[in-house]
Amino acid sequence: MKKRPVNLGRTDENIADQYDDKCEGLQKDAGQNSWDARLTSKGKDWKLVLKYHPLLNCLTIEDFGTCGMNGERWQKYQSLWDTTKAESKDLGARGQGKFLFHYFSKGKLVLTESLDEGGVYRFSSGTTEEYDDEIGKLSDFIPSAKPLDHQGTRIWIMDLKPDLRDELLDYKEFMNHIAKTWWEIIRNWNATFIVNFDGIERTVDLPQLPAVEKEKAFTNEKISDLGRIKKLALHYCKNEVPTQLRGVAVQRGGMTILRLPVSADEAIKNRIYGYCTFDEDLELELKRVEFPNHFGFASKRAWNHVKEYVRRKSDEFVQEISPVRKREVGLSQDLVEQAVRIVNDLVKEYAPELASDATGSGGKQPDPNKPRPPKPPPPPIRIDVFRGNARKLEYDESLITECELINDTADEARVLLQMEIRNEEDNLKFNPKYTLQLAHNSRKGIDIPLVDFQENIDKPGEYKGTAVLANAKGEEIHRRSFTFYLHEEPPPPKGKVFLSKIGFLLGKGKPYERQKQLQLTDKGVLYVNFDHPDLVHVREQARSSKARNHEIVLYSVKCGIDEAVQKLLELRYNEGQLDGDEIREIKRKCDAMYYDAVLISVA
Amino acid sequence: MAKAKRGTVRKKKIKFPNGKELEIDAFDAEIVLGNREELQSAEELLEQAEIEESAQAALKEIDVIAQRRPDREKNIWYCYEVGKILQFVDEKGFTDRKGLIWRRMAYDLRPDLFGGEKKNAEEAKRYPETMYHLGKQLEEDVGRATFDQWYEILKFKDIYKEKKLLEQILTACEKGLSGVQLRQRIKDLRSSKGKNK
Repeated sequence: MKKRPVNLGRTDENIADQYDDKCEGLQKDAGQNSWDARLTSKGKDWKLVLKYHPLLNCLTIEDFGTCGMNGERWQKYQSLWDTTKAESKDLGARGQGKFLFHYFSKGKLVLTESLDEGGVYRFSSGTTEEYDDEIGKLSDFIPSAKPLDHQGTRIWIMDLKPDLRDELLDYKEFMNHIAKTWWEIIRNWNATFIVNFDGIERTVDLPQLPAVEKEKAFTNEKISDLGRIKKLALHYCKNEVPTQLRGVAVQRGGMTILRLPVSADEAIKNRIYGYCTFDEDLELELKRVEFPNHFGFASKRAWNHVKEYVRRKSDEFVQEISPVRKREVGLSQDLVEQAVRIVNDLVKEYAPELASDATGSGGKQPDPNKPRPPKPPPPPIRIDVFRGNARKLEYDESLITECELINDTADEARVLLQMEIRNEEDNLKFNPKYTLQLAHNSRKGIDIPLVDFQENIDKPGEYKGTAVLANAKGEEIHRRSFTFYLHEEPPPPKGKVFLSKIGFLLGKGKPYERQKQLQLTDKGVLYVNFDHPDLVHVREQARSSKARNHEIVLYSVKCGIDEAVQKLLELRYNEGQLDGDEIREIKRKCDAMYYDAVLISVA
Repeated sequence: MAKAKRGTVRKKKIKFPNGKELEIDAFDAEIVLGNREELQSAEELLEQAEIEESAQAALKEIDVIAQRRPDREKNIWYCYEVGKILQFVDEKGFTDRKGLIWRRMAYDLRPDLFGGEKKNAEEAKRYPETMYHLGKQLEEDVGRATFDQWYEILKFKDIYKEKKLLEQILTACEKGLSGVQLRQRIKDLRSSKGKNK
């Protein structure tokens, strides 16, 4: 076997691309490297100083109260994507964060000094591609600089890029980033962060929060077999919480990874903040699924369970504050994954009659001579939403089932909801039962536990989830189901589909320049106008290429929904059923599709 | 995960359920919702948009040259100048899709700049392909052969990279060899160097 040559020349750019805000990423990685290296577990005398040197146009990141790098740590520091770190309790996961430092330098040059416990001084200079820790000295690069004279590490990011420097030197914003990320260690262990960008040393203080009106805490809560939530604290304040501190901070090792928004009315949501900490086991599980940039988690089992727990507890908390709840409107990490279960699923759910006149492979065209039988009205007490979070699941992922019931009658109703999940061999995987009271004219969400799948127990293949709603006498009143695939590619949609795929066209200067999309072709392809100012705007607004790709997919889904609504209007018109009520009904369906596809709850 | 289909923008005829047809400029990249490759498709879409933008910019520059040279049909200096502009495919890293780019420029958009309309896309691609390779030649060599002669020479892949061989071929061109005879001569020269293809 030959060693594969690696081109690291643009590694820093690729890594930087993972960060929406590079300066926020810089302080996170700097803090994480340094806090990992603290001399005592509580960070006695730990200090991190970030200083800008205007004459040299460089930034130094110097830590105190840390162990410095001995031979082994030095070697690890010089490596990239050291995956063994993901299995340790340290904050760092893959050793890629330091490459962000190179990104800030015009020449990608970073100098590193470290003094270890034995008083051994080490120096390296390097770019993304190469480094030298044998010949060069600090004075070769900065003649006026004295070498590091205390145990710890100092990093010099040389010749900062002008645009990033200007952004970085907004010290207030930079200190805000630190405060919102590291508040836990500042509060608990007096960790000191000093920012000196203009010749004045400023210590980062705890963020100012308004007085609390109501609070709730949950401690030592077991999360499946993954570990325990040490503490989930929720606070409802008398006044609005600063924007960057709203939601529930998910903490790992004293660092805020992300903040989960709370589902509530704007007025309530803006006054809630909280945090969630974990025991060692659950921290380690979360670390395994954490994004390398420390800004989020992959949608894997550990994170799904934690997210679901926090969502339910914060929902309960919101319920106590205000009986009126509203789902969060915002863009989530896995928004696209959810949204791309697509227009077809939405059409199937909201306007199944449309799917029948589309052209999926094997789809049966309707007989134009045969009048369509009128659609029976939905039962007044029914399952309004019943679906899984993904069409394909892997063994380390969880099925999150969304289920909502509706009682459209003027009376309270007692119902029985029975759910089951079976594989294609009819083996039962999961079958919870719920006896519920539904208030008159109300909607009720059911908290269905997450379902995990294990490789040695659950067979791969097709699974079906079914929910049956029965009245007090046990008579079935409504039933819904969904299908998903475990560790197996779902088959392409067959039979009735609305859309087969989405294409893009250049519309500038063409008669259809002002249209967002053309009507569906005979092959079920929807052509979206790539030049439309709305799509151009969407592309320009995205802060990273990843976000831009997400936004394009979302935009396409929205166009699909618009087309579905248009088709529905035409269909009803041809059936002679298009009156004011029907138009309102179609508008309602349109709103519901948008809500589900685009404005998905992040909770 | 499969890589998203690589392509460009091209003219396409689409048909609506009412039987009406429309010719559009469509991207090869398509998003198949639910196939879990939506993001790669979006990435590819943006790359195709970048290519389209570069091709349109190149056409603008070529248009300026064309206005300066009304006698551009098989004009070796026109082709050489255009060839220089077509080097953008290498500069911008689109070399692996140059065939698609030539098709877009010479078949879909501006056949008048590339030797006029052709029966099919495959034929249309050859003219810009010759221009592109011509753009890589030394200026002092360009005038030593006519367009048709260069067309024959450049059919042989990478032949111009062998300086000595090219010199022999251009000498043959200066003696008036062209068409089948020139082709045969090139083959002979190559085989005498043990590089017959």
